[in-house]
Amino acid sequence: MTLPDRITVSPDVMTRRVGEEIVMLQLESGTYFGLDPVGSRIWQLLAEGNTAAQARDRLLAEYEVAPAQIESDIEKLIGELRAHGLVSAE
Amino acid sequence: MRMNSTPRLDICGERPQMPLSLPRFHQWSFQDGSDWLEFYRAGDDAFVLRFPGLADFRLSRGDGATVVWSCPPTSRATVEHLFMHQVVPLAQSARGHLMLHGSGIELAGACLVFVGPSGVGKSTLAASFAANGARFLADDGIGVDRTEGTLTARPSHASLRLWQDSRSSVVPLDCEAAAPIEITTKLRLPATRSMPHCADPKPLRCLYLLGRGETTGIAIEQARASTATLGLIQHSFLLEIDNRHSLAGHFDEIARLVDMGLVYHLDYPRRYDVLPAVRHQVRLHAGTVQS
Repeated sequence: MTLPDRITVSPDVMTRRVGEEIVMLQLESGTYFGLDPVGSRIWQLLAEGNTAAQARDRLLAEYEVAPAQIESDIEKLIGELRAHGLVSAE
Repeated sequence: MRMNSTPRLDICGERPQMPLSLPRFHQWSFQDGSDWLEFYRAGDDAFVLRFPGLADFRLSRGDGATVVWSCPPTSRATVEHLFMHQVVPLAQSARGHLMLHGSGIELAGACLVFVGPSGVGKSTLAASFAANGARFLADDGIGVDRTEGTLTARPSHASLRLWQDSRSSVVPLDCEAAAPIEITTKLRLPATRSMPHCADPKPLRCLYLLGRGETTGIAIEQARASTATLGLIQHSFLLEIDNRHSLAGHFDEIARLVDMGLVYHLDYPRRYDVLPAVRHQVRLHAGTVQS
């Protein structure tokens, strides 16, 4: 499993924190997304400029979960975010 | 500062619908793919809303004036119905107001709003409350204004639209239906003393996203924040769906509303004999919510 080094949030994305969750609007397409608390935490770490690997390490320190599970969750989320034009990844 | 007046309607007359040379930016469609409503821009601050085969409404963002040409043989009652139920909420959204696809009732001086798609039971629930001591503010389009952290629900027209079976089961006998119109078989029931309307804005106590009734009991629970946000966006009116500024403002307003923690899921079996218990549970729940 390979996590991308750099994640760039699209300038067309507007985010708001509501409660413990993040909601997003892709302004170009007019589509909306909601993230659960774990997805919101991953998003927050990526949006702060962390690489995916750094985000993984931070989450491993915060949650009692296997590294492979966290990596899978991050990879899956990044895939969905990329598919909807919310981030680019290198 | 946002203006809060209801758009005026000026009926110009009748004319057949010809193709428009204006840029079309959106449409609402029936399940068969045909258009129910077409959205056109007519300059920077004006729009034409075309209901194919029924009427063209030209509305201005600035002064709220709306002019309409009906397409023969569309009746005046149908034109007024389209105006009140579709055009006014869209026009209000273009002026920066949050307009939800929901009904509203007054309880203990505050408003409860029931939000959901067409056919989910918003009007029936509002009618059930109204026939049992709680005035209704709106049938299927209700405005919510936020001022310095305070939410206020704005009433709309003083009538309810119900299917015949809901009317027979929920509505007092003295409520006479208005003359039918050609585009719907729903009954239009003006407010009466036994099913009264509240014409004054009320503080918003909470909002309930209605489930589909695929449940055996009455369930009320706090909605997840992201689910509540997406649900309210889905069930709200927004005219300028192609305008980034408009999209952003609408999104921001709904996120702020949800962040106040007043959105709940409400579901119950869709049986008329359950409605008294639903009203009871909603009254109990709303009494525990601090707005």
